[in-house]
Amino acid sequence: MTAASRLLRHARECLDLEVLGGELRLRACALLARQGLESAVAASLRELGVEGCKLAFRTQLACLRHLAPPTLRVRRVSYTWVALSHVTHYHGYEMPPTAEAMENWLTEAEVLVAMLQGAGHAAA
Amino acid sequence: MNPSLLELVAKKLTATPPDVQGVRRLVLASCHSAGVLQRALEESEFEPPTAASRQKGSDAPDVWLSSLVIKGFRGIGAPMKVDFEPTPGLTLVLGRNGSGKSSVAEGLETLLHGDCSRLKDKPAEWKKGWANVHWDGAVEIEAEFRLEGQSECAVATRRWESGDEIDSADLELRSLGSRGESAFPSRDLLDKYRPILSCGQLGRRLERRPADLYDELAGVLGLHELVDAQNALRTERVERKRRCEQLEDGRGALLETLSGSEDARVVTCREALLQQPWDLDAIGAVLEGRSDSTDELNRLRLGAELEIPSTQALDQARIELQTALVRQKAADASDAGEQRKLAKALREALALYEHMGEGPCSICESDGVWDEAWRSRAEARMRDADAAAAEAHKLAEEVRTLATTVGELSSFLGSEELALAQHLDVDPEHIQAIAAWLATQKQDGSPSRLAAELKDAAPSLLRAGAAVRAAAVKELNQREEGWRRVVDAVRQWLPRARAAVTADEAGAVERLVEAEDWLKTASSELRADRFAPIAQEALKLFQEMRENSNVSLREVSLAATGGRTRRRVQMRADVDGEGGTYPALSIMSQGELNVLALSLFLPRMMLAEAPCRFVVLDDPIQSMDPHKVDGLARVLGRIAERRQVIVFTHDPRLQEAIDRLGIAATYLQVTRLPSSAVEVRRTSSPVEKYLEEANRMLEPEVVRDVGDEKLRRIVPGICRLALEAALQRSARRRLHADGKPSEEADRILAKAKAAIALASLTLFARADRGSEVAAEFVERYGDCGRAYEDVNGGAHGNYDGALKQLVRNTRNLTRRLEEKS
Repeated sequence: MTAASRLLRHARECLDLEVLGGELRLRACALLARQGLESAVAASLRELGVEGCKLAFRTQLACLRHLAPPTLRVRRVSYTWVALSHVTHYHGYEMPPTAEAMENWLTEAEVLVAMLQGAGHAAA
Repeated sequence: MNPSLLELVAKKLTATPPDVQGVRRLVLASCHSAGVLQRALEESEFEPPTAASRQKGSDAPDVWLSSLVIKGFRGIGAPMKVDFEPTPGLTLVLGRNGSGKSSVAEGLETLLHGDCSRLKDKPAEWKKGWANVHWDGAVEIEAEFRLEGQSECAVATRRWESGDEIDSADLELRSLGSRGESAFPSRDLLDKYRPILSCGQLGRRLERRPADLYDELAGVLGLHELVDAQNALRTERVERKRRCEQLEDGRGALLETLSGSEDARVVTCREALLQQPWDLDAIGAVLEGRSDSTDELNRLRLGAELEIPSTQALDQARIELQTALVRQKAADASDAGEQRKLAKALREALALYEHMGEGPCSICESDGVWDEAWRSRAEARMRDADAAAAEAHKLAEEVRTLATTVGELSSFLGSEELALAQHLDVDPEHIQAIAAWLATQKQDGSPSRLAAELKDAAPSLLRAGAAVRAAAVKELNQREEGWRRVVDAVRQWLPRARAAVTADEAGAVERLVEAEDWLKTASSELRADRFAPIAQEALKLFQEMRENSNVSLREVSLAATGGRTRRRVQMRADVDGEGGTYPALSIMSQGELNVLALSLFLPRMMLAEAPCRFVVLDDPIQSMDPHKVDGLARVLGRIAERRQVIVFTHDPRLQEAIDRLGIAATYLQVTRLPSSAVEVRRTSSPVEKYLEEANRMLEPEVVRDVGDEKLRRIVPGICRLALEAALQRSARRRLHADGKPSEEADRILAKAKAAIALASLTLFARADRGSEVAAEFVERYGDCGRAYEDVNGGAHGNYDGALKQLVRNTRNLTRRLEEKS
């Protein structure tokens, strides 16, 4: 199992961790899912021959968009990462996301990580 | 009347007393009730009280909200419990739209009032589906209240079975101790001071009919009772005036009835009725026969009952007298006097003879001789003389007696009868006969003359007497007939008039008019005085919340002309403090209108009479710009010093402002989980909240369940959130400390979203020195300053150090940032 898949599995596990309480569960899930996405993108770039983990993530995404085949929906990755990032940064007393929203983003992240890994294998 | 209002009325009566005596009492009495007013009108000694007992409806104690449990209501499925601190303080209930936060507020509202303002007056469609779809059982809302000064608390419950209408459940009260239900505010009182303000439609409430807004704001002030008092005075005045008019009409009709009769009684009554004030005693005297006017009537009655002797009786008496006179005349030859003198002389001569004895006469010195023979003769002569004198005496007595009889019989007509005859217009012949007879009787009253004159006059006198009597009878009958005709009317009217005079109806009407005038004139001032606390508080609140608005509220007052018919709330505002004010509604933005509405409705909930010590605001931030949020936060903080303020909001700006302004508050976070499970957790300020979360994650049970691998990737992210929250606060404080106005600070912070920019602002008061931040943190704060770089890397999964140390450093750094600012 790749690091990204492992992180996403952890993220999903967090959703059911009652010991954390409602809000923290969602935040933990977001943190792990985002790191999963970041890890998958870095892996894809590595497979494309770019060692990009020192770059800012937005820059990594720009590289990927440039290098990857158009079938890879990098923009979708970008959207989901921004949504997850939003939860993991402080925005002046913003309310936590709803459980439904978090579930949707996580599912999307899972789809995207699978897509990135598939693309990576294809490129290889 | 509401005690505070009555107090104001009493004060005003002392300050500007009515001109007319007794009006003060009437005004006061009218403020109590129609019954008290009547008493004040009837008993001049009665002094209405100037204060009413403090009526908090019942004397139920003030209530504070301790907890709320809701199941199956609107967005809430499984039972959800929220605990509140039942003391003064501010509680913010935070939750996203749809989190179930409004269901909590609406649940409380439905529990207290039996309905919910959001659904009220809405089409039936809105009211369906108020029960939660994920909940099969009965819907139940239950709240526990702390009763001020009581050891027991009150529990209020409403329960609905499946299919019930929302307004069908009764409020059940439990655990009230010995006082029973009276320990809890009545439904009426709860409704009047509605402690829950649902702000969603707040601005629109200003746009309703002016009278509705007036009623809503003034309802709790009891101002309608001023109108009630005026009405009581008017009702009493109208009734009394009607009675006065009826009496006056009765008097007119009576005068009509009394016209045309010259009977002294009627005349007396008529004159008494025409006097001002009416002489009711004179009329009473006439009815009871005590009046002077009845003297003439008595003369008429005597005339009608005149006793006239018969011709025979009169003739017989006269003839007997004349016969006696003839006999007396005959007896007059031997004069009784002379006989008596002779008898006396002889008695004395005989006595002398006894003394002297026989011999020559000692008296006449003549040749005569006194001897026994003389003595016998003298004694015989003396006896004869005595007898003759006695006879004459007897005759004289007889004449005198008969003359008296004739005199009495003939004196049936006297001067009174003459006056009556003249008054009654009896035939002059008779008047003359009477007058002539009376004239003769005044002169010499010898019996012979009496007899002679009577013989001539008797026939005419008897005729005159009969005529006088007949005339008197006729007149008397006429008058009695006329009196009988009016006496009933007088008898009916008099007691009513007496009652009216005793009650001083006319005076009462005048005083009532005065009282009405006074109250009417005083009303606008009383209204203003009574509304003053609300108006002042509203102006103050608006001023506090308006921040940076160029519109200032200048005046809030109640205007009611024509009693209850034209009433409105007058609100005037100015723009940029320039001269002139405008109707507030027309120049305010939607946000300002919301502030205005809040300013108007909040004071009512905070009146001393309001039974609920808790104030619930559901979503008060509507179209408010950020500065107004600061104002609102300050206002809430101020109110929370005396009240239990509970604010439901989806807008994080309020928490941000409360936090930043250092206002003490408790935060409750509402989170909605699948299947309508709603969780309410107590949270603290964002920095504290994230630090608590980070700490919690390091507790053994969490470490065991979550596992180190995950924690290493989660905890630094949570720490970063705490640091970001602290940086945002410190950056804003730094900007404020550097004299940047709120608006500019907002603008700068809006641009500097990233933690690096916020850190740069905090450290250097400018956003563009991000590259120096990490080093500066270490430079300034030593070890804990490293947390900045550690959490930033760690949030992306790149932290290898000890998590406990990371959390400790983060906590210390946030503390230092707090100190610094």
